[in-house]
Amino acid sequence: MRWRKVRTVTWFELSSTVRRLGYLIVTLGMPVFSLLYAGLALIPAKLAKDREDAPRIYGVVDRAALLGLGDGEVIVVRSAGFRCYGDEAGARGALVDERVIRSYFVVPADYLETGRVLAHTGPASGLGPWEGRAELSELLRTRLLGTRVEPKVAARLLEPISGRETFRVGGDGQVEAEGADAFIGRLVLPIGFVFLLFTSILMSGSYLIQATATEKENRVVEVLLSSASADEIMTGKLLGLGGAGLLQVLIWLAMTLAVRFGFSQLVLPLNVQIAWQAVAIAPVLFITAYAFLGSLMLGTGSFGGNVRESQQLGMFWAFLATLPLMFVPLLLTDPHGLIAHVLTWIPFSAPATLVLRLSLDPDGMSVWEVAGSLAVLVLSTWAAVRLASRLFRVGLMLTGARPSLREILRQARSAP
Amino acid sequence: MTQVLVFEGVSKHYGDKTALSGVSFEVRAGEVFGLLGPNGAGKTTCIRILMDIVRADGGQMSLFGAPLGRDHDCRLAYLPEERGLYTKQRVIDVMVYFGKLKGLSAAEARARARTWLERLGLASVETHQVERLSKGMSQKVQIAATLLSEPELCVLDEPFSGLDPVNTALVRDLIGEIRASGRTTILSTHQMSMVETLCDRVALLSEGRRVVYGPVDEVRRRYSASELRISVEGDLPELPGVESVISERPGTHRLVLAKGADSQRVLASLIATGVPVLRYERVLAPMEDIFIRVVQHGEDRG
Repeated sequence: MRWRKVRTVTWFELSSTVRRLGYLIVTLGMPVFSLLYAGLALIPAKLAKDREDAPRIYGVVDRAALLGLGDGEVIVVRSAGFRCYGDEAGARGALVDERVIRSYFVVPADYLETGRVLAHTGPASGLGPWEGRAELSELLRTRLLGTRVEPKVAARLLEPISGRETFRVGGDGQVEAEGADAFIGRLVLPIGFVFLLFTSILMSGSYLIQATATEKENRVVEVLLSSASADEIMTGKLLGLGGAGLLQVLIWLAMTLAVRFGFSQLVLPLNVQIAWQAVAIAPVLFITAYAFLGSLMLGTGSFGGNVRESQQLGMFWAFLATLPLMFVPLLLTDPHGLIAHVLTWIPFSAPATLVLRLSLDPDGMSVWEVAGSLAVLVLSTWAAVRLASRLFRVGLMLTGARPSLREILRQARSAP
Repeated sequence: MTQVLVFEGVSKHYGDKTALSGVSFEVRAGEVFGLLGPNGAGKTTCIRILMDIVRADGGQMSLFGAPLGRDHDCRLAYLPEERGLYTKQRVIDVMVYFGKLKGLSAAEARARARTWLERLGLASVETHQVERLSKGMSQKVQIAATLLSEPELCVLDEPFSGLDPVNTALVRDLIGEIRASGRTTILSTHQMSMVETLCDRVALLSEGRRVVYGPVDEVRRRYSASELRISVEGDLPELPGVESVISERPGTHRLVLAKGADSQRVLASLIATGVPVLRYERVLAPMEDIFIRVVQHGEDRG
């Protein structure tokens, strides 16, 4: 491999991609578009919140005489108000004619025996007849307890856990206090890693395939192959277009962080705790996984006759790369279970699984498992790059009808 | 003369199809070598093997006295038959990229590219996108990009296709300049008049086999009948050893000699008659005729 040629291809691919109008629009426009979209999404949320702030009024006909309210009297529970009616006719008039209540509930005389409550909906009932159920339940619980038990016991019955404190017991038995949201904090690195990896692979993979298909369409392939080897061209493309994709993701990340720190009150202030083992291994895994998947995408994508065909062929690998995301809930609940162990040894899922497991519980993974998984990934990457460079050479020279898989493999074996 | 390229019994198969079958030829330093043949004869396969784009199944090959391989690619340049450039790029950027791939520094490639564009009358399109160029302009840009690195061996596959007569003459002169500078050219073309004008030696391939090989004049002589073209003042007298006479225009005749007749004796007889002789030449078969006779009719004269 002549690195001077690789550098030339890398720089050409990087500079010609980042200067493209489409790239600039997507890179700089995507965050603006996302902000606009988020802004639009906030409007209905804000309107719903405003409506929530004004108490919703429901009617209640208390035939069991549990609530202790007089006719027309209103009691507020959180954001819901309950207006008491002596009979159903009054409640019905308020619901249908005056439209001052959203719905009304009837607590029957045999409520204590049956637990039955009848809900009545009308023309302005919002989310349905049971919209105020939680508040009504709380009101009933409060009234039922009344003075029958001590106020402290009543308070605990109504809210058994009102204060939460969290501690973490380390591998050495040391107990340390941590915030209740520390678990979410530990997910920041793996989720960020997975997001960065897959976004980079998808963006760079798309550029890789597009650039290669364009070269085939523009018929510059033979000139390139007469000046540099397929290995050099492929490596240059992986580096250059991977750089373009990564640069794009980093710009988005920087803009997101700027928004995060500029408007921190809008974002949950997380107690971010990151295991150093995960931080140390993440860059290695990122580069290896990108080389692994990128080369496979490029190798198979080069068999397409045009950009669309190449994308269809190459994106198969991108789909495989997203498979670990489906197992995230399983990994969160059991980071060292059988599924987690299996995923650790499969090259497609190893990067995300390793980072996730090391972030959640670094002491739960043995050194040999980390080293073994990394070794499998590196070996697979080496094999993928070798295979892809041969496929790339055969694919680039391919015109007309696509040969059989056997013929492709035969040609790949005899390629220089 | 130093051998730049040697092919010895080279063969190549694509699946069941034989692209080359025991092809041998050599290209000498400083010559223009014509690699000829009909479509599908194996010319492009030969070139791709030379460029290390595909690998031969058998045979011996050497380039600049060493085995074929990637070590030589900065000493070679290739203008493929199916031409193309990066259509969305600027002309100068494409040329600099190709120059850098051939081992030039960015500054050197840029300076040479500007000189070439100036020379080809394309200085005004230096910063234009390639897709804005006419077909002829693109062709010239590609030829310039090929020659930018001043390679020791240029492989030009159909360099005249799509060019108007003015640009055809320009490219013909460029090939002449390459030869004058002592560098070597392999020219693959279907324009046989260019082969006669430019090539020193040729190899004609047909169905993956070499069917004609040698210096152009010798090949033409080999495939020529015993014919003389003479121009005289007045009427042509009857001459011994001449089988028939074809009058091409007043005073100019083509003489078909009898089997075993000596052209020098015919000339001596003519002079002896006292008729003034204005022109005397041996008629050589045109390369186009040879091409058709060999490829279409399978005529073999070694």
